Parts: sequence; C-alpha cells; structure tokens
Amino acid sequence: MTIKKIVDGLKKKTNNAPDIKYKEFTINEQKVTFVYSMSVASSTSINDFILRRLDEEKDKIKDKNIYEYIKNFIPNNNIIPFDKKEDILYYVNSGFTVAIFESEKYLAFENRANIFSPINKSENERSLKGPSDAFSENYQFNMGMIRRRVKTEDLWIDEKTIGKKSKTKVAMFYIKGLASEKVIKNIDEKLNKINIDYVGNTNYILEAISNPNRFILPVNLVTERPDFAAQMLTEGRVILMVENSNEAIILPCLFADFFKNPEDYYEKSLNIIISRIVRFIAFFLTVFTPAIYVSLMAFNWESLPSGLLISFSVQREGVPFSSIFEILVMSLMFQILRESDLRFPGKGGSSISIVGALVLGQAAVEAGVVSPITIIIVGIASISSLAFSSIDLINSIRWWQLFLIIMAWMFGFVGVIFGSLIILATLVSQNSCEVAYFSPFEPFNLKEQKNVYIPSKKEKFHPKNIFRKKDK
Amino acid sequence: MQKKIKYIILILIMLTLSGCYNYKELNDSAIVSAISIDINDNKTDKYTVGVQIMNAKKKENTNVSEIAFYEANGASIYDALGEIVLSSPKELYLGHMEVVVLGEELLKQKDPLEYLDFFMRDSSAEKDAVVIVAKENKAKNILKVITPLETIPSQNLKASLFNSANLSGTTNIITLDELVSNLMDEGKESVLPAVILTGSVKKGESQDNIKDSDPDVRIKFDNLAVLKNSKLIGYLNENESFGYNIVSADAKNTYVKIKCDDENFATLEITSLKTNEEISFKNKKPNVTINTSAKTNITEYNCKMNFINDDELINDIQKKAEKRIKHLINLFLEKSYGKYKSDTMHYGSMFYKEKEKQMKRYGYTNKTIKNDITFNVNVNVKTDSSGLTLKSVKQEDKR
Repeated sequence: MTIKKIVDGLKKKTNNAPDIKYKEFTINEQKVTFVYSMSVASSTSINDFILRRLDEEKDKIKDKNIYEYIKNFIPNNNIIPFDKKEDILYYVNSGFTVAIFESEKYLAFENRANIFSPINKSENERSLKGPSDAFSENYQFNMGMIRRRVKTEDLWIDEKTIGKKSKTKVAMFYIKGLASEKVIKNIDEKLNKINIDYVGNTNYILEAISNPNRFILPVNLVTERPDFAAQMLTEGRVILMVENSNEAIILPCLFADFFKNPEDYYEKSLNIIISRIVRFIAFFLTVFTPAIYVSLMAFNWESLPSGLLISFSVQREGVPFSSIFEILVMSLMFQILRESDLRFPGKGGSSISIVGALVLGQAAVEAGVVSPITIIIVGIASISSLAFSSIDLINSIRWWQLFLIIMAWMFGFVGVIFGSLIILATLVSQNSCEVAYFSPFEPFNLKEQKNVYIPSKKEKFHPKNIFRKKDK
Repeated sequence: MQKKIKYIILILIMLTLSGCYNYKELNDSAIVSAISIDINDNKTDKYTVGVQIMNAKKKENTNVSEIAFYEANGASIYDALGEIVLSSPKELYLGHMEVVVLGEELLKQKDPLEYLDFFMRDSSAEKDAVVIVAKENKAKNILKVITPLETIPSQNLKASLFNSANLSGTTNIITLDELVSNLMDEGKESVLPAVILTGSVKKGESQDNIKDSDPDVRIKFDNLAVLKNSKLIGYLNENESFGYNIVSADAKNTYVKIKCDDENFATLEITSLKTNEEISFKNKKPNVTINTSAKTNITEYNCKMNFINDDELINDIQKKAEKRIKHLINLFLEKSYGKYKSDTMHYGSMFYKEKEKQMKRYGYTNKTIKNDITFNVNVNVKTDSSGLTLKSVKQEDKR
C-alpha cells in the first residue's frame, strides 16, 4: 500500500515523466518496486544485474527479509541505503536505480549510463611536451585523473551539492596537511553560502565565490589539464571540480601564476627562464604599447629621437584620422577578427585570418586609411596578448589596454603613469581566498620572487606551500 | 562618497600635472630642424628668420621626406615665426630643432641675448640645439643648401660638427643654453663653431646638387669664432682652435703632427687628454698655470730613425709633441687673451669665484683681470703604443 502511495506521489511530482520507469516485484509476499530513469541509467546493467538476478533467484529466497537480501546480494559497487522519500528523485536523476520497500526504506544502486564524451586531448591549453589528456565532462573520470596522479591518502575530497534545480556535485580537493586550513575554511564557507538555481559550468561557481568588486583580472585559475591541477595540489592549493564541466578551478590564485605554465616543469629548468621573461615582457607590451604610442604621438614628441619622429610624421602624412581613432579602430578590428575566427565553424577560420591580414594590414595602409606604424603597434599589442594560456587573462587585459589608451589620449604620459598606478593599486589590494593576490611582490618576498622568474630545481622537486606561513 | 572624492582629486591632479590640455596631431605640425637668424636693415623688422622644415612632404615611393625652407622678417624672433606661419599650412614645432645658425653680420652688430631670449623662454623649444656661425655669409644660405650623405641638411650640419669636433679638434660644440650661460657670465665671451659655404647658393638649393658624386656646393666647418662683449670680434686659425680645444680638454680623439726630422712627419693620436688650471697671484699679478697631460699612440711614422728598443727616441718624440702642444696652446692664448682680449676660457670668473679677496686687494675687477693674466703652460705627453710596426714602412723597404 505504502509503495503504491509513494509511486503515485513520484508520478505526480514528475508529471508522469516518460523516461522514469517503475518495476514491481513480489517476493515472499513482500513487495519491492524499482524506479529508474531510462535516460540516465544504463538499461543493460539494470536488466542483467538487478531484474534478471531477482527473477532467477526469487524462488530461492524463501524466508529471508527481502530488504536485507537485496542490500547484500545484488551485485553492485555502490549501494546507498537512505530513508528520505524526497531523495528518491535525486538518485533516479543521477542515474541510480532506487528500490522502494514497504518498510519505507530505500536502496539506491548505481547504474549510470555512459553518456559522457571520452577523455580528449587538451585543446585550449596546448603544450609541446607532457601529458595531453584533458578533463572530460565525466565527473568520475575527472576525479580519477587526479587520483591517478596524486595517490597519497592525504588527498581529501569534500563533496557538496550546489544548485536548487541542477543539484550539481562540486568536489573540493586538497592535500591534508599541505593546504592551508584557513584557505580550506574560506572556500568551504563560500561554497556553503552559494544560493543559485543552476550550475552549468565551473564559471557559475567562480562568479558565485568571487569577491563582489569590479576587479577585472581573473582571481582564479581555471585549467582543463589534470597534470596542472595535480601539480597545483602539491603546491598546497585547493581544486574545485564541478560535475558536467571539463575544467577545474585552482584556488587561491596569484597574479604570478599567469606567467607559469604546466609545461614549464617538463623542460629543463634553466631554459624556462627565457620563456618566463618573454611572458613578462609580452604582458607589459600588450598593456602599455598602444597607450605609450598614443601619448608619444599626441603629447610627448620631445621624447622621440628626431629621426623616428620624422619617420612617424611622414608615415602619417595624408592619413585622415587622428592617431587615437586609428588605434581604437584597429584594436576593434583585431577583436572582431579574433571573435569571428573563434566562432566560425570548422575550417573557415583560416580564410578569415587571411582576409583580415590582407584587408586590415596591407590594403588599409596602401589606401592611406591607416598609417603603417599603427598596424605595427596594434600588431605588437595583439600578438603579445596571445602569449598566455589563460583565456580569462587575455580577455581581461583588453580592459586595461583600453583604459590606458584613454588615459594616454586625455593626459599623455602623466595619464599613463596614473593609469598604471590605479592598475597597480587594484592589483595590490586584491586577494584570492584571503591570500594577497600580488604576492610575492607585495607583500615583498625576495626568495619567492626568485621562483617566479627562475623555476628552480628545488621548487620543482619539492614544491612548498607558499600560503602556509600566514597560518602560524 | 569618500571614494568619489578620491577619484575627483585624482583627476584634478592629473589635469594640473599634464599642464594644459595640449593634445596635438603630428601631421598638423611642421617639425623645425634648424633656424637661421640674420640681421635685416629695415628698422621695424630687425631680423630675418629662416626655418628648415623636415616633414614637408613624402618623397615618392619612399618614406623619406623632403625639406622645405621658409623665411620671414620680423621685429622679434617670434614675430618672424608668426609671419612664417602665414605662408605655411602647418604649425611650427621647435621641440626637435637641432641647429641654430647665426649670420656673421648679426653677430657683429647685435648681442645674442637679445634674440635668444625666445628660445630660452619657450617651453617647447629645444635648448640642446647647437649654435653655428655662418662665416662671411648669411645664415639662411647655409640652411638652403641640400647636401649629400644626409638628406636633411640640419642633420648633416650637426653630424659633421660632432665629427669634426671629435676627430679634427679644430671646432667645438656649443649648445644654445651653453652659449647663453657663457654670455650671461660677466665677461660675455665665448667661442662658436663657424661654417663656410663653397660655391653658389643658387646651385645648392636644388636637388641637382646632390646628383653629382662631387657636388659643387658644399658646407664645411671652419675654425672657431670668438665673441667678445657678446659681439663677434674675429676668428681663430686652425692651430689656435686646436689650442683652445686642448685647454678646454675637448680634443679627445684628435691627433698631433710633429716634425721628426728635416722633412718628415710623425702623427700621434691622442687617446686621453686631461687639463687642469691652477690660478694664483704672482707678484700681485694674476697667473694661470695650465697643466695638460695627454696619452698618445703613434699612428704614423715616416721618419728616418727607427725606434727599436730606443727609449731615447721615444722620449724625443714625446718631447717634440709636448713642445708642439705647448706651442698650440700659447698661440691660442696669445690670440684670445693678447690680441682680442677675450676671456674665452672664463678665467676671470674663476678668479672671482676663488680668489675674490686677493683680486680686490690688488685692484682688479672681474672685467679687467683678464687683460693682465700671465700664463704658465706645462705639457706632459706619454706614448703608450707605437702601433703594429716598429720601424717606418719606408725604412723596412730599404733593408
């Protein structure tokens, strides 16, 4: 009787969903009903290991308690007993088969169907050397990829369910004893506070836990490479993994982390110094070149050598637009080019680049619409901005570029200096999970700074947690 | 609210720091590379000012610009520049001015402080421009000539001035602010590099001048001009100019030629040159002791004697070089302090700064003291290296 009531209740709750099936059994006059969803559960596994087994053996189990029997003898790797009626649909929707007993006890068997994409190569964070597997949409696979790399029993995983509608699992990985308690507590509190309906991707969690200010630079590292995530774990960081998404969040994140690359550790430490320095130079080039160019062209001619000034002046001869307008338009054109290149399906992308290079570069200069030096400046800034593997960083640098260009246009070099001061102030005042974002530059720590520029063997072989000092 | 106030303060500071709101476009300005100033006989328009503009127009198919020359008359420099703007489509920009050429007549008649005031006062004008005298010519003619090697004549002027000052030692570099500070000194004396023009100006104005490998019209740096009481008083000759550069220790990469026997010469290259002066009063008369020490290399040796292991011979060469340098210095001192009575080395102000009490006790003022200075010159030359060969090539040949 009770079973029927429960089943009716479920049917009513789901509006008699077509993919949820109910299978009744009567064994020893004890009733049991199996509920499963055809869409997320694997039907072969349900048929083979639950229904068929019960069918074959129902005569053999005479006087036994059916609940105990099913709990102990149905072959399944993940049997979860629970008491709450409300949880039934959660398990069913997660790919479990739920057995409902008259005693109002419930058992959930995992029969998840494999409806995830397989483990792919990492596409967004490419590297020459090192493992190329990337996180997939399968939460279990992702966990496994990290477990496989860090086999210590100290790797602890806290799991939470977030999202009123999506009920997405979010796992928090950290190495007990290495990660700072303060950081773990901080992240835990933030996760508990999250109150959202739907979690589509890691970014939902990111936005929910980031500080509510207008800071533009990303304060979280997101990676799709399990090797990078594992390496970060050994540095005492916390990894957040979100169900159904192929990325992991690394917390806390420092500004200096954007200049590191997982690949750095797969090559000779000494040779990486140049790569790191190049990344720093690229960062400064992309942020400052257009602004410095504008202030040189509009205010501070005396800072240029005569020869260069004449060359600029001759190049700009006959160009109808002001230099600030040229820079803004060409930057916009580059952004459009990049956007269309990214969005255009399949192999069409390369043709766009060719058209863009020809039309925006050569033809525009020959037609006298823009001066060649503008193309060079925008080219330098744009190419440099692509030297980073973090898309979040690339996207946020654009704001800084634009901000400094406008400052340069209004106030010349003084504006650029003030703009950089404002940027520096925002950087220094920022923190990521209670860790100063701009460390080790501020608070100043020369020893750690060395590790930013020069990846030492010591750091490579015995990574330390640079956040722990503050615990004590 | 507090945050907003902070932002407002920030913007206010920026507005004041950037001076005035002076956004300007490069193609709206004419970059002036050189200015020439000449005297004009007209009473209302005292000066003729010429400007050489670098970014006049693009040469076809290249990114090299052609120069343009504009001139106008005016009661003051700025007045004349204003006149020029009337005939030029672009605003004049003086921030990259490299050369200021002054006409000979102008220097003879007018105090440079009268017309250089504008350049010191205007914030955008370049104070580092070199000042040159157009010897026996009008200043504007120098700027009109189109020269080979450098497409822009002013750059040609500046580069060859730096070269001749460095390598020949017969000329010197005086920038606008140096000249002004020299003239503001009590003595109002200075030297200035001079430039001469060979050939006719008409021919030099056209591009054809540089089509020949040996152009008819050339600009050549001559010896130094001497200013006394802010007026041009005369020119030094080559030896005297060289003497000036040794005393002022500016002749750092130059050479000394000495006669080593009856008809042959040897050349010594100066690698380092140090000069210091000691001022004192001897017998109630001002006395300046000039100590010069030079290190040299033998770069050319055509003499009969060879100097294998012959210290005496090298000593002899050093002695001769010392004598020669001493002679050059004395020539310069004689001309400047003897003939022109012009305190080009500013010893007068040195006495005033260091020995003011004694100076007054002996009845000199800083204007009169220069006339009575006696000089002691000590020269010390050392030869470090004799180059790759020991004997002269001529000598080797005979063997």
